[in-house]
Amino acid sequence: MSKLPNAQTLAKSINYAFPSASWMDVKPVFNPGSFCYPAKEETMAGLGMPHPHTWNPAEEDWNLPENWEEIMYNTLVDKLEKFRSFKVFMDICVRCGACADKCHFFLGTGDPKNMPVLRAELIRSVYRRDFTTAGKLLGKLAGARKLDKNVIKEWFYYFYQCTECRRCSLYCPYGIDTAEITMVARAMLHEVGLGTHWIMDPVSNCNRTGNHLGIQPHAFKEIVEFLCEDIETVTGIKINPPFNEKGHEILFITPSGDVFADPGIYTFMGYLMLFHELGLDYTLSTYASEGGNFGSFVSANMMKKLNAKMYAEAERLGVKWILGGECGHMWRVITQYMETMNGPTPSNMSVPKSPITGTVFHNAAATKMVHITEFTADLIKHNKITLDPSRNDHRIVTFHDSCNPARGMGLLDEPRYVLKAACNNFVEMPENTIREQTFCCGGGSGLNTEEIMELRMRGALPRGNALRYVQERHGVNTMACICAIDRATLPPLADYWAPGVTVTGTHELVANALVMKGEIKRTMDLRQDDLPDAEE
Amino acid sequence: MLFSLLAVIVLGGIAWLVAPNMPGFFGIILPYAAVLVFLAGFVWRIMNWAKSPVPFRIPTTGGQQRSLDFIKPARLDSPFTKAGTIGRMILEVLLFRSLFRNTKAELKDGPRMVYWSSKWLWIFALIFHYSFLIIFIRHFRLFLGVDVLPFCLEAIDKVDSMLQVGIPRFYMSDALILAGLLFLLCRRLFDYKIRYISLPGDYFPLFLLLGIAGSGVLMRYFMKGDIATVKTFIVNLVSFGPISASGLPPIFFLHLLFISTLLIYFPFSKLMHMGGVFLSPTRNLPNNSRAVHHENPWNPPKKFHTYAAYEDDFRDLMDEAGLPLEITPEEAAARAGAAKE
Amino acid sequence: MSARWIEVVHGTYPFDTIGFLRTKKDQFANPVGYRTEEAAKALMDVVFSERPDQEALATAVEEIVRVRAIQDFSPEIAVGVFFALKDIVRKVLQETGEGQEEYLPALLALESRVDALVLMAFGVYARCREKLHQLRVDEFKRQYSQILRLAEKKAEKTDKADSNN
Repeated sequence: MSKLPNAQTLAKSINYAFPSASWMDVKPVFNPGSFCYPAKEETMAGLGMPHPHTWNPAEEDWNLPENWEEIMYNTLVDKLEKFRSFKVFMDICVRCGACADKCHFFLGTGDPKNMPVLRAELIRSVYRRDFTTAGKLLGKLAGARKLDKNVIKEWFYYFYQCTECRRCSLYCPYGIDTAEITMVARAMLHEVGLGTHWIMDPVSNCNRTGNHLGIQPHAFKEIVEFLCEDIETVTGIKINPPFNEKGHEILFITPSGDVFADPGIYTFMGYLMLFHELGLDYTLSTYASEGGNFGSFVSANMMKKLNAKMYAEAERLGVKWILGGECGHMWRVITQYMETMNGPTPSNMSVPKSPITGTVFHNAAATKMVHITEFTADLIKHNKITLDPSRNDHRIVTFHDSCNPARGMGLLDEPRYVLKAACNNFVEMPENTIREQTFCCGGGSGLNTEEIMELRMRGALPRGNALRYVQERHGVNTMACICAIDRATLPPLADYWAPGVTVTGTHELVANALVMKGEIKRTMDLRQDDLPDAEE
Repeated sequence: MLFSLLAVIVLGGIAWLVAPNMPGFFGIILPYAAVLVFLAGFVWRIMNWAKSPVPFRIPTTGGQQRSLDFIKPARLDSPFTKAGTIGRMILEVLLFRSLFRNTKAELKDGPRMVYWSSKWLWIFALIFHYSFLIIFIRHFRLFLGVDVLPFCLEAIDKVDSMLQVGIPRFYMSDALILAGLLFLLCRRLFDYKIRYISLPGDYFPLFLLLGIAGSGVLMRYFMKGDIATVKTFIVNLVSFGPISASGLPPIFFLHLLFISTLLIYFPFSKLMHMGGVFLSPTRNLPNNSRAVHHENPWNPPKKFHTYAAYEDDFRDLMDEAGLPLEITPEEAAARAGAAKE
Repeated sequence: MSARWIEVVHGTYPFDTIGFLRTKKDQFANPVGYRTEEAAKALMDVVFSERPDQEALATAVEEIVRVRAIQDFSPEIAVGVFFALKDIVRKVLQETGEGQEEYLPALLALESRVDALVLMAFGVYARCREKLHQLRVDEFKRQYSQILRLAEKKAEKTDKADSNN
């Protein structure tokens, strides 16, 4: 009996010894559930990505191209020359550790390399060896190391455990943005043919068919028509949304997830109902039907390639401006990249002006694209729509700020303004988990794939914890968001960490409260669940 | 860590034992060289950073954007204008705004204390940096070589020695800089996270600065040498008419060598964060890229799957579904036929 | 005693997290530490009470295991920490020294209680893992909900067409 280790020793046995484990010597273990599936060779080849090949992260040999060292070095030089952000961030970190406990993946996994500072050091150490004198001369003493195949594996492991949420960047005294570093690292990995399935497949689909699942135009239309049937069931109103039609004032673009996936479809139905009620002069497009941009998780060029369709379609259809749906990284791309990459806007476009209220959106003078919550907040302010918030009275609602609109755009109060008009019970989550300090859903930047559910649940813990808190304290049963990826990733998060909380889009709640001309008495919400006081 | 400590001790040994015997090199040539290296290195680093363009406008927004009239924007944390951006930079550089954010993490009840919360980091970082600045400014007394100080220097001196104790009068900044440095060092040694991420290059400047501040304090309060001689030497050194350094006390050489080392080390180390913070694109750009065009100098040409190609792929299906087309299937067939001929 | 046990629980994490888990008290800045600690305290109260409240016990066990079930632990380590309670109790008794015989029956009773606890934890662990897989399936369904619907309609149509023929 005494020969057996007791539980305490067993537990201690996996304890890393402090002095022996310099982070450079610890290698990641590729356990199932902790890494994304690799992209298919034909997908990569079809997109013209360099060195497409078949490989498996769990195997020893990743079949890197012969001259991978040269490719990596040249790419690093290229990125340093093109991005001041990257170059400065390689040099000025003082390792003060302010970022360490700001990362949801660190908080949830406890893995030291998930501290943003160390995530960046993974690449910084290689930079030091190749580009600084001290690194060349002193090597490890100066925190430098050679790029070898194990380092590449480490990069793949940890740069796909970063959701580019920029929370660390907010707290960094020099504004070092791990998202920038992750983008470079991923771009480098793609140069030697390493990509993930859940990013490259949607990229390929968006490129060809215009949506992330590769649904062809006629089927896309058919699905939207289903949703219109559902709207009719709930409201008694028949909507026929225009597709690919020229001569309308506004082009509406939203992530295609809202058309295909639960619970995004209810948000999409919300948009259609709102537009119908307003009599808005708009059109949908099957060609530019994807607002989300998985290309932004690959490289700047891929981001540009996918994003270019928006202005191209706006030009072809001759619209004046674009209205954008609820989405996270889509809005980061639109805010910080679109006009620079694919501008100037086509000549038929003009500074967005709400045809209903006459408000001119000067803040979108260059991109000519307005966020739906800005648009709706403005409508509500001017009393242009009638809302009956009591229809949402059985819901106690909280709001999850998506990382990208929060820290890459500053869209914080518009959705709150809309929600407070659409619901009577609104509760905020704790202060250091919302607004610019918001925690990620754990699935941003192309990590919302099911094979890493386990990892996602770890990363989701900080958000789940905050949600659980308001659930217990205030009885919150609904979490609203403004992001299609959130609508995909928050339901499992809530299911695991705070069972009983429903995830909705903001415009789903708006549409539930929206009083429409000629509607039947609402007895159910958009999900066709009975409203509590329906019997009365 | 030990390596960095050793390096500083060796430097100190050289200063103490060797330097007094080679006053020309350590007293005159090295300081001049160090200043030269510092200036040239600093400028070179900044230029090198500036050489890379800022292709995208990527501020980290720390507050509400400017959008609708009835929504109050965060003018400093999410600046729309140039003035706001300058304000944000001032807050960042002078008050360490981002580090200050950490104060939100509150202590829960419980017997154990949080050992280093981030608020402490903010306070001690401020203490260290400002003490350093004040001490640096105070040294102008030695550089100027005048008896009556300009008003601002005099004022700083007065405030710094406000406590009015000791002879020579005790400067608060001397104690504060040591406290600041010791805090930063202890944090590195005792916080597991920070210790794990620390490199020799993180410890070395701390030890070196402790050496500088320590030798300065020793010189002023404990090993009071012939201040007049030292002052004469420095005044001449600064006005480019150096006089012989022989006969100056070893502690002075120690102080001087440490400073020279710091100056030489500075441009090639993380200490360049002093210059780098001004070039950080997540902080020094206004959040106005939706309203104002931002130019990317290397913007590649547009290459994308065009609508025409898309329609070619799905024309028949689209036609069947009643979606409007640019070219009808009949036209397309006719064109294809024409192309064949 | 609960403090000691929390040490052991934290001890199963990589070293550098330990300092963090132990010291940061904010429940939002440090959710793992907070959840573990709260649950451990509750667990202790229940285990050492005269009449353990089944429900409170279940909640506390669930709190702890739910976090551990998704972290990179093997099942035996994720659940095994509960066994450490025995060692701790024994040690505490040894340290206090006197009257050990007196406590023997109580100790034995407690040990069986811990065994029951482990079984409970095992159950929670299994459920959590199952949940995780369920989440993957659900997510897949949600992701393709409308595509499935489209396919169903198509299938109906073909069926109708077939039966008409």
